[in-house]
Amino acid sequence: MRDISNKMSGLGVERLTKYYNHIILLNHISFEVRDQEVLCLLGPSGSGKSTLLRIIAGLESFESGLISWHGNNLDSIPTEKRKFGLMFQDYALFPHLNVFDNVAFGLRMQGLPKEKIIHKVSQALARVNMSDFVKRKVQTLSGGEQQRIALARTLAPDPKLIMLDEPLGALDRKLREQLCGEIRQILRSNAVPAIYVTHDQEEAFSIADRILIISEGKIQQIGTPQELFLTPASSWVARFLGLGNVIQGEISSLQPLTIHTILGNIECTDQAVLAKPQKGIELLIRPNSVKLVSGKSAGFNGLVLDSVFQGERYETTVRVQDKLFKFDLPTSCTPGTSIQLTVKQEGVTLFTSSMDQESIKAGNKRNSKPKYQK
Amino acid sequence: MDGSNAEVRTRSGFPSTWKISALWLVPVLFLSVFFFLPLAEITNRSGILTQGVILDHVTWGLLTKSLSFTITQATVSTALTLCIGIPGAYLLSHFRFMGRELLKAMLIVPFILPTVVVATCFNALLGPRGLINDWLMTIYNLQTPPIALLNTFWAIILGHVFYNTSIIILVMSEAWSKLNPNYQDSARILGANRLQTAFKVTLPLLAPSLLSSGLLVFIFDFTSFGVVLLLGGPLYATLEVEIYIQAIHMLNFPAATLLSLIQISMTLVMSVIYARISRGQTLELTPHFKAGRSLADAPVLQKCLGLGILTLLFLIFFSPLIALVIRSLTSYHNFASEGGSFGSGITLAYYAELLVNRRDDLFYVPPYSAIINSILFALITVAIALPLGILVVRALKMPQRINRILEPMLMLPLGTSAVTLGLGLVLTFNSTSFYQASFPLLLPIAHALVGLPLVIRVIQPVNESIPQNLIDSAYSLGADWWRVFRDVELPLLKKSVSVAAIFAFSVSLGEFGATTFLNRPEFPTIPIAIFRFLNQPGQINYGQAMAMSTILMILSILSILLIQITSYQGREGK
Repeated sequence: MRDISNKMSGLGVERLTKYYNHIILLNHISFEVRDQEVLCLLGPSGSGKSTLLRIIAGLESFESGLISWHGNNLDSIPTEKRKFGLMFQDYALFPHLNVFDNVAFGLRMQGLPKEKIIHKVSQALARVNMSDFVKRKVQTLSGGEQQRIALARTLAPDPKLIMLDEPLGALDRKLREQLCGEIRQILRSNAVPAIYVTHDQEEAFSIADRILIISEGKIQQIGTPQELFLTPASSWVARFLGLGNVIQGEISSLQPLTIHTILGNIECTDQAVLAKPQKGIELLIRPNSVKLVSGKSAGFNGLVLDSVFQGERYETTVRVQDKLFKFDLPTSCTPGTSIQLTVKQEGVTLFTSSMDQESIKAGNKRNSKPKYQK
Repeated sequence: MDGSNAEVRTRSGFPSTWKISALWLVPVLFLSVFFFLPLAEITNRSGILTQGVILDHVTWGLLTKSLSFTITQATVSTALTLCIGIPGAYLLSHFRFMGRELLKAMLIVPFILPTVVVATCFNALLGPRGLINDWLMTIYNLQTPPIALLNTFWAIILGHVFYNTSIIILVMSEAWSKLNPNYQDSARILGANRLQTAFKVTLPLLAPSLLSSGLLVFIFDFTSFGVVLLLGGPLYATLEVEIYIQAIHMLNFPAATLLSLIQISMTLVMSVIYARISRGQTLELTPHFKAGRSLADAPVLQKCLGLGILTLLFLIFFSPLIALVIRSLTSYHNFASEGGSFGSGITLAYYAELLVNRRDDLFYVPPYSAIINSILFALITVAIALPLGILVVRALKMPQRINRILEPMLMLPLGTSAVTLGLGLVLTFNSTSFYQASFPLLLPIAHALVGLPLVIRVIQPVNESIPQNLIDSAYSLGADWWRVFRDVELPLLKKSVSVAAIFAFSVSLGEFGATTFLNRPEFPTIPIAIFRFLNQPGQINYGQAMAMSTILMILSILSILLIQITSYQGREGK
């Protein structure tokens, strides 16, 4: 991973708020994109990711907030003067132009001389391995080929910021995996900041330097993939990222901090949650944070429903009081048998109930909330 | 494809070639006798085959004068129609505003409004005895009407703009709605400003729709007859009107037939070009617009422009119709000197007068009988066009080589003008004298020829969508072809057949071009009666023209409503 921590911030978004038909679509969104950084916007569909890109590109108005580039307000700069690149999910290749003219469109708008345009187009096409397609009509291209041409068209005019809106969304799984790698290569070698929108967390984890999780118009968490994985800001984020089993609990004793759950009483070291005592508490129990025990001292009993061999571990589905859990166990268990398990302390993350402002703030604090350059 | 055909052949019990020949027999016979024979007669009379093209300087003069005028007025009309239609289409496809649904519903009205009604509408609005002139005369106490628009070049253009703006709006708003906004946004992001985006992206992408709708409007303007005759007056003659004048008034058949041949070949060429460029495009009579932005929230300049265009559109579409109704119900003292005044104010006198058989009247029968005649002729038209249309549609569904030859033949009447059709029919079947047509059925037959392409185009897509499995299984259950048709196909076609019937009915009600040739004085139709009323002096005749037109307009609008209700139910059923 490149060192991006000390880089200047390129794009700044501050307290951006956008309504659509009187419904709040983006609610005080603040973040920055640092130089050379690939930032992923990750969120369920309908969470306002695409609208955010359109606002940054200057294609959409917004109610309040500030968008800046190296500290300069972009409000009065029209789309065509921002010199950002945006690749749409449907690629939007001009159907009346061939591959060459599509890629050359942005260069022509810059008024470059003809030889320069030819040179830059072939350069851009070479980067996406599409050099042989210069004269092709765009309607004759397959989905993957269209995707590459759209990428070449976005890269050719050397934009200051590249925005990709679900670039792999329209492709089948195999092609996605292949192109995901290629896009990562291209974005890394490009040394230009990029915003990559996706709803697929695997895609986000493999491409991003930092990930911004957005849902219902609010930022749920922002951080590196590692930070997100290790310290999810809320139970919602933990669920969304599929980090493990999330269960309800209640504080049964404060010294030592003990939470009562259907998996028995779990002792915790994380005192942060006590800053504001909550009645309802949620716990993330990661798949690998239980161990098989015998004897009747501690732990809980579960009924094994399924046990799947996964190399070094067995993914085991266990039913405890009508709830299903997935645990990674070192040994195989016969479905139908009852096992006794206990929760390891270090594998538990506590959340105050639901994804309210408190838990999000706590999450941001943990992930060293970035300071905005003004 | 061939395999399944073979199956159909065995199951239906009939050899397919036999069956398709039987289906084609009646329509082909009908077209041969009533379309191709008259066409041959026109060719024969023009003397082209025996003497070659004779162009004495009189005929040459007629030709160049009428042809150049036809092209000039069609070009100006089309240009003006585009100027109003394109902004209108932009508004309708991009914005929400009060009255959008009303405007959308009104778009279909000009399609079906008879030319005679359009002419009287503009007469009622802007003619010397029209609403606006009356107001101006009253306000400024004038002795003569200040606006002299009738019988000018611009009256023709105005009529054509009224007629065809909705075509441009329907086609272009549909195309604009379907245009992916990401194309324009991509262009902006790649550095194109609004103007560059419009010319380098939006325009090229809309060009096919623009070209095809523009050409369609040009064809309609080129072949226009009623509007030119009724609004243009004696000074202006398009090819179509010249054919009428030469045949009816001058009895100069060589010239009339020659002009007809030129007219046919030109419209044919344009129709072929139109068919080429409009391939794959559909003309939706009820377009589905996306929600759009609210016009009230738009920037000031956009809002002003939008409101201006909207006002213009509402004026164009509504004011002539409203003027007609008002004028048919009011009598004005400004024209009292013309005699026969019923005083000033609201009156039903004109309508009452339609029931009276005056000695000095234009007809030997009371004028209201024209309404009965028209409805009778329209019913006969439906009775002829509908079975023919169903036969053709069924024959076209069978994939046989013969269809490829016969299908273009069917569309030929569409490219032929109604005036030429009327002339040909008269020349062929009326050897004795011009005004005593010895064949009263000729009129509905001509109307059926005009309406047949429309009937086919309405029923065909629905018939094509009936799955062959359904028919096959009916056969396999032991039904003979008649039972299959009556119990399976016809019920499925019911909605489209009703729509086609209403179309054929209203086409016949308003048909003017062919009717001027084929009409018999003792059986006037509504358009003919209106035409004669308008050509007579006096306020009573004028008022009766207005009253008769109002009745025809209401009948037409009723049929539109019926069509929309029927197709709406059809859509719900699916």
